Amino acid sequence: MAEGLAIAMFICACIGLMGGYNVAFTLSGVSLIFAALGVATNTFETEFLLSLPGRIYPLITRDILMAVPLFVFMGVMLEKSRIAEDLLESMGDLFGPLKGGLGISVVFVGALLAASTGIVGATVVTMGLLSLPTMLKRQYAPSLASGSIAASGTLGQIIPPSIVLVILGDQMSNAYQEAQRSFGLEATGVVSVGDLFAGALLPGLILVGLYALYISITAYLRPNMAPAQEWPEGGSPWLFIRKTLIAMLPPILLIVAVLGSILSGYATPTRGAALGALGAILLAAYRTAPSKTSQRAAFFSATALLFLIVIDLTGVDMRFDQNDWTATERISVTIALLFAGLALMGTALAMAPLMKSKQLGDVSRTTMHITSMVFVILIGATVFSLIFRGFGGDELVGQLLSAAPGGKWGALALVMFVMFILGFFLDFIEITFVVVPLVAPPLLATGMDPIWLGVLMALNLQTSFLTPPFGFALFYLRGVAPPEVTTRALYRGVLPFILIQIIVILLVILAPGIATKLPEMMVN
Amino acid sequence: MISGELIGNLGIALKAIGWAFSPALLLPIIYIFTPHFGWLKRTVEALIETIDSFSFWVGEITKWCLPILVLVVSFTVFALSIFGQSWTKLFESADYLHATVIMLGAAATLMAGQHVRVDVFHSRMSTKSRAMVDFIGFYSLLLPVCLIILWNSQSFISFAWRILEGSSESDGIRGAFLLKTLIPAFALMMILQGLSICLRAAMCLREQERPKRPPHTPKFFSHQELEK
Repeated sequence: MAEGLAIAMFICACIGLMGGYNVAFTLSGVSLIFAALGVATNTFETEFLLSLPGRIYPLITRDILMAVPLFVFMGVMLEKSRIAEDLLESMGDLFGPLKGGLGISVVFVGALLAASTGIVGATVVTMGLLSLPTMLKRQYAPSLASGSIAASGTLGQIIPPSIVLVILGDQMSNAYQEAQRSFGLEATGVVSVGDLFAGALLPGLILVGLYALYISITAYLRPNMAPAQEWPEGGSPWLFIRKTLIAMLPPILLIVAVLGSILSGYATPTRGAALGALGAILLAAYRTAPSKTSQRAAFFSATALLFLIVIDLTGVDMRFDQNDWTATERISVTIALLFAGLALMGTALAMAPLMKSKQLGDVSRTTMHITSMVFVILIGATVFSLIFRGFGGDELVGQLLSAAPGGKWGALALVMFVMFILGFFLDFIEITFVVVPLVAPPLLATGMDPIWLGVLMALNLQTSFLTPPFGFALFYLRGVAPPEVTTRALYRGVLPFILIQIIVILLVILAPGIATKLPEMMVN
Repeated sequence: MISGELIGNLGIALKAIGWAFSPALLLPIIYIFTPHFGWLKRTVEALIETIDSFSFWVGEITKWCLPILVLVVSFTVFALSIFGQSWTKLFESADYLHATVIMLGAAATLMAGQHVRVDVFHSRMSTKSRAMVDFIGFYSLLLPVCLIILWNSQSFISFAWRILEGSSESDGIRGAFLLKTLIPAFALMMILQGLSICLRAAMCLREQERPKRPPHTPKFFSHQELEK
């Protein structure tokens, strides 16, 4: 009886979601209705729900999840200060004379800048509005143009630092502990968000490479699909290279610095995210500064921060609480304090115009909306899992997976299939919050590597978002595409990219080292 | 302890106020099924506008926690990793900022229509069906969930308030009870904002014009256009 209710609850929640009410409250509301049914039939204890506030409290105070608003802030700030647009424009100009050059630029920009927002819809819409008209204007085939935009819009999820990986990493880490506790997995290790970042980096870069390779091969074999452009008038190549470098270097530097600080263990993901957000503020202040003074303030402040980190990396002991001050230490502490003061003052000066122009307020509002949305879904999913567990649903899932034909590989295939189908209806965040806590512990208990499993799930969902006719990315792109891009062309355009996805998934399954080697190296 | 008693009485008073206002939750249903009264319409409009601007302004104030959060965390990173300085209070203030953004920003997010929906079918629905979804959704999904959170918060919160619970660190911020209070505050604000949207839905179902919305908020039940 209880198990039956658990299954019915899951199915009803999926159907209920189709109605289009808020995802968070549909998940929790439907499960609450079933809890009432359970109480009526004596299969559910009301005491389960008493612990609800006590379960919400750790969610809103968990240190690692603080990385979510910080990364979102960074992404929104980069987006609103038109850094992506500049980058795409100048890269398109520079690589235009190459066959397929613009298409490759789109893939790179998508990979670089989508990384920090990681909400499928938002990224695809931005990329679509930004680059689709340009590509069509330059005579790209609608299928190739829309396919590469949809694919690179979803790329941002798998390439760190993305909030999707923060969330997945956090859930995977909980699941790993759960597997050790309840399923008797004999391992003592822990997984962290940083590990998942490291694990996803190589597969993500392989995807970028294969996408670019596919576009250039197509452009080479069928030049009319991705024609080369003339240089824009009156420019020498060097001028364009300079322009591109100026547009490209700051955001690349920022992402590399954030990623580097996290992967090298210099900063936790949360701290790295804060530095990234601060960097994004300074970058935006530099670009949109109304006066030379505030532009200089932003520039000096960013430089001072960089020098501060460089001084720290030299390994000089600059802690205040020490008794053995040497001359070098005294000098470097003085310089470091000077830089710190400069950075503080510069940041204040740089932020003032951003506040005045309302940009900081707008970015903060959008960030608040996205953050709240993510965490309210987390709360809704928590209610759902709490009640699902109350019905013994987690044991049911465990039994189901262990009964799957083909042992652990069969179970894995089953989970991947279910997630793929769910990806048609739900966004990454919902699936991660609802499905991963249920299926990951029994899967991990069979001895699978948690990072490998996480990367595989991320790749799988990304593929699902691309797959016609239901793929999320396609819906969003359809919404912003001009009418001359037919739905057929869109579907035909993404097929090769889906093929590439499948190849990479198989690659990760056959050679797990792609996902697990980098995190291992990090630990040593 | 006198303060414990005082806080206990305060809680009872708050609960009484809550009960007193609870019939307002039935207003959307009443509105749909009663004939047209001018005064009822004006009351409903005033209520919608009050709730919306309340959520909006709480959100507008709350959003400034985010830039402060960025600065605070960045500052602690540099202070700790370079100069070996750490202040538990500053460190913990990040938790407070983060939790405030989530819990107090949620109602503004609901008002702005930014909580995700599965729009496979929703995007093809007519204005009235969308209003119907929000009307039914409020009563069958949002309201019960928030009421359960609110109801079950009682013992959770009253214990924290009775001892004025602080941080687990000795030199931390002594305000964990305030942090915990964010949870029922969240539930309450969501109920209020949900009620406002439900009233709008009721007006929409009766084919009436809805009151004007705060800035930066897309229209409900229609295609998402920003109202200038």
